[in-house]
Formats: sequence, structure tokens, C-alpha cells
Amino acid sequence: MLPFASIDFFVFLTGTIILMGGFRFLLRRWIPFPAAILILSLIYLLFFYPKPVHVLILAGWAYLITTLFISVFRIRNKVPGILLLLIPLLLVKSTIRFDTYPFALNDVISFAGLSYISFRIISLYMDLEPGARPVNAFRYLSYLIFTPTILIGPIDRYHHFSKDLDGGYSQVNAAGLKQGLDWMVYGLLYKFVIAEVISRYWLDRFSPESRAWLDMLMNMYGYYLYLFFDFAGYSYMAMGAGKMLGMAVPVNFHFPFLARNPQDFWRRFHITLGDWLKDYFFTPLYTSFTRQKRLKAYPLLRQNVALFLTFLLMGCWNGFSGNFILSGALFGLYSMVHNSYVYYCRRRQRDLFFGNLPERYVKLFSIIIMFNLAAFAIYIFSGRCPWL
Amino acid sequence: MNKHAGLVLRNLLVYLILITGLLLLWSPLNNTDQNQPASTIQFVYQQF
Repeated sequence: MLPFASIDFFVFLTGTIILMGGFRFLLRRWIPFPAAILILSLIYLLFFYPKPVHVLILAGWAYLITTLFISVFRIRNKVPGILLLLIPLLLVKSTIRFDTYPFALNDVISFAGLSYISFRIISLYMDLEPGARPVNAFRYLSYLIFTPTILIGPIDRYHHFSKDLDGGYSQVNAAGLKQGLDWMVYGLLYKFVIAEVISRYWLDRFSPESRAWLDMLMNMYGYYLYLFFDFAGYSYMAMGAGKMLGMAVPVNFHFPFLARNPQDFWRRFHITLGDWLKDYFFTPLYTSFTRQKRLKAYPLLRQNVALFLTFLLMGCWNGFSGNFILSGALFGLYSMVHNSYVYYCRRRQRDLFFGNLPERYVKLFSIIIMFNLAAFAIYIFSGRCPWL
Repeated sequence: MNKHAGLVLRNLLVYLILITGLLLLWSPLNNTDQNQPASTIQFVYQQF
């Protein structure tokens, strides 16, 4: 029973919210709020989530590595720890098979949600300073397995999650329930009505194998809209469920169709992934480039290479297949072109593309251009392009 | 007062679309499955 994927889950979720109410009003003296969140998440994980033991083993492994490297050995260099934490994900995503008798290692360690749990593991590992006190193991487990976000995010940060846990039962209130229900309704509308209508009555009419221009265009725009409503719907539901349980799940989408450039796009589309990549890959990479003497004189090159590699990594993270890698490279290319454009506009102190065009037209054209560029890159990602 | 009424009307509209949509799309009689793309959840699940 995957989150938000079937009627069973919604029945379970209703039960969970009622139970949380029970904890708040009847058992708050004996069961503190962080324990209630952990208990409810564990009930879902152990009884309804596929491969719960795998999740618990990964959580144990991650806690061990994080505690040993950060708190015990106080290792400054974060790369070895990250590689160790990423071993399960790399093994599963890689095409190299470890066919150890009597089973393939890749299959044994794989489970749904591994990518997003790995994101959260790395996020905390990177945030901790060497020598920091070990994090509370129960909070750590709660953070990794919190039911609304366990499968596909949004990717919360530990300090934010932990702060919410500290907020206690006062966060489980009528206002939260109302707000959560509103988000849940929007999520249901996006995912189970709008995305479904696009899927059945738009995408179904245009074969992905057809090489006719009209079919390809309809597949491109249709899939972009479908992906947004499906994923944003899921994210709204996760936010709604989180809020009803007293936890603030971060916003993942904010009108991405109004983005004016690639940078703006990633502040609006899958926001938590964009932030994660910026904080834990782009910034450290760019900082390391800045320290290199040979690259000191080339600030634009440094930025562009770091940008391209960041988006390439994003593509590879979706899977090591041509369409994902190409889609990531395309977003990297868009970002490089836009970054160079901004750089040269600043140097020449004028807009090199739009010239003296009034601001409202610049905004309109920028939105149209970015909408089409994003739709194209996501079309490549979708695997519905007949040329790939 | 007007703002409040607008909000109520918007919510009513959202619920109306949602309930009508769910009833029309998800009744057992109306189920097509041809070139449908994998949902985000299926996409993540199928990889593992």
C-alpha cells in the first residue's frame, strides 16, 4: 500500500489522524508528540509499506555511519562518508549486477523510496559539523520514515523536522486540520482529476511512437502538464497529511509555468530537490572550484561547469538511462546559457536579447520561452520521444 | 463580507469539481488504460 496511491491508504490515513487526536487528548501525558509521530510512522512502515526491514536496515546503517564519522572520528572530509551512505542507492541504480548466489545483491537492497530516504540521509550528514553530538536515534528514524514523505518527498531538512517535533501537540489543532484538509482537497483534485483527465483524454489520443509533429507536440505539452498535476498533487497531499498530523511538510511546487528562466524554474518546480542540489552539490562543488588557482580567473566557467554537473547528476539520479541523462544535460545547458547571458548583460549594462523592450513584454516572452524549454526537457525525460 | 463569500464560493466550486471528477473518472464502468504514463508514484516504485 503506497502513500496516496489507493483508497486503502486514505482509509489508513484517516485512522492515523484519528489516532493522533487520541494521543493528543487522552494519552499526551504518557506519549509525547515525537513518540506519537514515530509510532504512527512505524505502524505504516511495518504493516503496510513494502520491504519494511530493508528500510530499517538502511536507517541503521546510515545512523551508524553518521554517528561514527561525525561524532566519534570527527572526520572533516565528508566525501568518504557520503560514498558509504550512498552505496545502497548506487548499487540499485547502477547497471552493474552483483549476481551473488542465491540472489542478486542489487535486488535485495532495493526498496521503493530509497532515493528520497538517501536524500534525507545525505542532507543531515552534510549539515552536521564534525564533532557534533550524535542526533537522537528515534528522531532520526522518524525523519527518515515519516509516512507522508517516505516515498517521494518533499525532501524535508532534519533541523526543520526536529523543530516541528519540539513544537509538540499544540500543532495538532483545528486550524492545522482545516489547512491540511484544504491542501488534501487540492492534491486530490490535481492528481486524481486533472492529471487523470490529461492522461486519459489527451495523452491517450496521441501515440508516443508516432513521429508526426503534431503527435510529438501534443505528447510534449500533455506530459509536462500531466507530470506537474500528478507530482504537485502528490506533494499537496503530503503537505496536507503532514499538517493534519502537526508537521509542516515543505512546499514543493509554486506556479512553475510562470518561471522566467531556468533558475526561477527550479525555485518553482520540485523546489525541495532544487534546494537540495544547490546546497549539497552545487555550492560545495563551486566552492572547491573557487579554491583552484587555475580557475581563479574564470568565474563564468566555474559557475557554468558546476551548474552543468549539478543538472547532469540530477539526470543520473533518475536512472542511468539515455533519456534521463539527456534531460538533465538539457536543463544544465539551459542554466549555462542563461547564466552566461546574465553575466554578459551585467558586463555590457544592457539586455543583449530583449534590448529596450518594456518590462511586461520581456516578462511575457521569458515565460513563454521557459515554458517551452522546460516542456521539451521533460518530454525527453518522459521516454515518450520516439527518437530516443 | 464579499471576500468571505468569494472564498466560500471558490471552495464549493473546488469540491464540486473534485467530487464530479472522482465519480466520473473512477467509477468501475469508466476505465481506459492505453498509453497512460506512469504516475510519479508508479515511476518511483517501478525502479525498485
